Amino acid sequence: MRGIWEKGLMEPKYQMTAEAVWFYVELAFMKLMSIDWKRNKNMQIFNNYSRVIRNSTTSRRIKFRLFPPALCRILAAATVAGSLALVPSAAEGQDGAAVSVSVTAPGPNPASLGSNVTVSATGSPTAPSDPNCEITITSTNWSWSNTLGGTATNDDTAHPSWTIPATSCGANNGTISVTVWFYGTSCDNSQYEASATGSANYSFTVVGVSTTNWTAVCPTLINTPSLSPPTNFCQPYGSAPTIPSNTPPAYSSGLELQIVSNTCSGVTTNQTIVVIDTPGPLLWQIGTNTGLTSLPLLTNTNGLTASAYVIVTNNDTIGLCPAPGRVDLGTAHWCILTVTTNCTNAGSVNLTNTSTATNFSVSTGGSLSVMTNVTNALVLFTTNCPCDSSLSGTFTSNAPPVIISTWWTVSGPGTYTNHGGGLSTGTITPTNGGIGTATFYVSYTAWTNSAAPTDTNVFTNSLPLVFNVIQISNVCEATFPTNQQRTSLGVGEIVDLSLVGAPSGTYSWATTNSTSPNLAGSLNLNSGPAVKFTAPSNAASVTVSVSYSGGTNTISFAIFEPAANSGVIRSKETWMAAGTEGAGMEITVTVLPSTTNAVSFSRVWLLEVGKDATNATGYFADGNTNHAPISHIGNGADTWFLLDGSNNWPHLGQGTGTNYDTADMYNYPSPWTQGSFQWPIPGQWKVDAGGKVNTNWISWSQTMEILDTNGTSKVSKFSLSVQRGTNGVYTP
Amino acid sequence: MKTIIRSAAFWLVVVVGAFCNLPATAFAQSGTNLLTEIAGWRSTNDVADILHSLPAIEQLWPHEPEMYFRCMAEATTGLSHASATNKEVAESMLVVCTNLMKTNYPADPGITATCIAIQCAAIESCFNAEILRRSKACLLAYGRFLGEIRSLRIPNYTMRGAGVPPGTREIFVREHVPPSYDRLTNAADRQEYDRLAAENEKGRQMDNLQHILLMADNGTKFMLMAYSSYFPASNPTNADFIREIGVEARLTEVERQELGKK
Repeated sequence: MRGIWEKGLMEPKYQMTAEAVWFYVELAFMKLMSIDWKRNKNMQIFNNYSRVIRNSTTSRRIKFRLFPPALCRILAAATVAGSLALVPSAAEGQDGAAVSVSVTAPGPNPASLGSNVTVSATGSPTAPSDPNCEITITSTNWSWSNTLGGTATNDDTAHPSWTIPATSCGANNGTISVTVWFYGTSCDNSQYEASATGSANYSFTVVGVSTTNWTAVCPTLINTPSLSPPTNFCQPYGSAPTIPSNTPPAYSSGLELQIVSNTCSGVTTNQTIVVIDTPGPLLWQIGTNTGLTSLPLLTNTNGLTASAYVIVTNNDTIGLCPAPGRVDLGTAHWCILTVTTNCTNAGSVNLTNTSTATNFSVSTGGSLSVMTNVTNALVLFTTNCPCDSSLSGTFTSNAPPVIISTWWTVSGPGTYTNHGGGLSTGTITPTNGGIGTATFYVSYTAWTNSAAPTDTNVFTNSLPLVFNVIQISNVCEATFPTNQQRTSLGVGEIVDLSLVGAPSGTYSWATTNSTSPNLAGSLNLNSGPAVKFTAPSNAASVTVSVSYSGGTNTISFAIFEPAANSGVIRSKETWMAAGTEGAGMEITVTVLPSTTNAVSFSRVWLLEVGKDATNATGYFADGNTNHAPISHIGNGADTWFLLDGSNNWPHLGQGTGTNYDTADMYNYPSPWTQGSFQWPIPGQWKVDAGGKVNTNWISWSQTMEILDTNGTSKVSKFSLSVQRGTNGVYTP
Repeated sequence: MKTIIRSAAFWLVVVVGAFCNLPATAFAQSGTNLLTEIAGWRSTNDVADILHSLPAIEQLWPHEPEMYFRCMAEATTGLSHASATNKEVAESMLVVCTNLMKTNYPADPGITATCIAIQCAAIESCFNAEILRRSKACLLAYGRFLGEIRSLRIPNYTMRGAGVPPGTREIFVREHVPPSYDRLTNAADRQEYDRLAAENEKGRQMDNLQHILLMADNGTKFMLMAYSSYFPASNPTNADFIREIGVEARLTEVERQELGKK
């Protein structure tokens, strides 16, 4: 207190303002009242306030209560010019007493004219504090005011409220203000007090409303809810009940009305509610069980009875049109259908041959196929329906078998795929002729006379198809050469042709020569399972074919003519007496074809065309008639001879036994001199005794010589020769 | 039409002749003419006329055996194709085939050989008709025919004919002349030579006959064996038939085993 008086107030550095003057008045008043004042505190306040004065134009101030409380309140009220209390800066270590006000929204808003509106406020105080001097607040005092008046409650608390009569239509704006006094002691136990003020605004609207009572026109049922027939069902045990169709209830729309008048504005309006009755989902009741959304399976032998209904609700909130609630549609009944069966004709699946042929060529093969022939079972069904006699009775049904699988197996000549699935074997290409069997199978289930089809009662039917793999068998009738299955043939050879593979049916044979049709040979028959092929009488290439249902087989032959003679000395003639001229040999002559392949000329006839001797010299041309060369004519020539079975010339000599040709000369008388002559020998051949003669064939010759006066003789033929002296010795 | 009228006239003569108990040959055509006619019908597939000619052909036997078989061969060849499809023709072929299997051949082996060769071809032609192939009676007759063929064959036959008649060498040696007929001046030698030459010719004919019989044997056996497969030996109902064929055809035991096999 001294400091203030002695220093603070006297220091000229402060420029005085109107407010500062007021401050000085207060200080003076305090001096007059001998109030002990803490100098530092006073100086702090003073300095702080001085700063506020210097830096702000707001009308904040701190007041020191040097007056009685009532006077001070008057003073404070007189000086509140803002809405908030002074908020000292704590950072400057000054007191920070303050209070803020918040207002709860008034209600009701809008408010009806003549009613009451309630508004509440809350004050949030901030107690003063001084970091240099502890201040202890001991009490507070709240002073509230409301610009719209009303009756305040709890006005000395932090939470007052007002009941304001709504007497003014339209917007009503108000302000609630408060002044809070803080009382306490300072650090030196002196009395301390401070105040702060705050305010807040609010508003509400006042309207004038007048309503009449609600009136209503409620919804009405406009159809007949029902279950549509049939409502009696006869179903198998365990099945799901058939749900009959239904007609749910339908309602007209309802309307609720209230008239609303605005007493402030004088405007009248209608408030309406359209009432809709809405059916819920179909529900069932079985016995006392309600609310079932579905029906159970028919597992009760007594059947099932259920009532159908719906729950109808609506949107009425006024309560004038209550919802209809449960509406029954009807009752349905299900009884258990019993069925007895009697299969009078069992079902079956048989197989039928659909193969285009069962004869195959060994070279091209073929395929076999079948089709299924289905016989439906004839089943009599007898039904018994206890709830509906019209559903009871007997009816007939064709029940087709069910094919499970089809497959086949093949056994037969050669190698090939011997099993598979389906109804066709695909191509079978056997490697040799013979008989085969393809067996087709089908497995199925079907009604029988005693039972319905089951997965385990499977029947199997099969159809074996015998097929012939046809191969031409060719056997030469000639047993020489030993290979009788040759396809290289001599002219006129006969080949026995037959079909391997148990042939049946019609077979058509033909022989053809594509280059020389007249040299196709012949067949003794053109049908049947076996024919004889006779090779043509001249060289050719021939194909014999046999056609049948399912294919054609062919076999080709190459036919060769006689082409040469090959001779071998079989023996030398030794029967000539010593001292006589002569030499001779027996020659085995074999006819050769123009191929290295062996063929048979067993039907070939040969002829040595007889010619007179030529090129006679010496002894044979000396004019002595006894020396004249003998002719080949009448001496073994000009006689057709059939070759033996080994393609050799037959027995042409004098002796017996195996076949041979003889070339000899003898009995020319002495005295002998050197000389020679020849037989030119053109050859001819034909097939069979009456066959066409092939005159333009090869030629050969036979030469007879006397070599010296000793009567040494030499005979040559086929590049062979023998030489004999009259002593009977052959040389070499 | 001309040939049909002629054929009808011919048949009128034959029928009248038969009723009058006259020898049919008195009215028969010559074999050559008949052969010419049948060949003509065959070329025109005149099956009816060929069928009508069959009695006339029969009239050729046994007087003209070779012509008989030639005419028959011509006729069966002409009927052969039709018999495969024409039941009436096939039934006629059954009769023809049975008639064809005659074996009372002429004594001349040359003619016989010719006859057999033609006969075998004619018989085989008949088998174009399946009714014949499947006829037990026909096959039995065929087997009997084979047996007759085989009876005519000479077992282990060796050729008898030769280029130079066997035995003639001795004549030339005896006469000390080179082997030439014209060197024989002695009439007796020439007669002997001629005799030996004639014998040699018979041998050559027998050679040919045996050759023909061999071929007939082979061919007939093959066909018979093939057709016997229609009657499986495994079927008891065929047992007697198979056995009888084996006997009648003079089959070897090995051959009999092959009868009735597929």
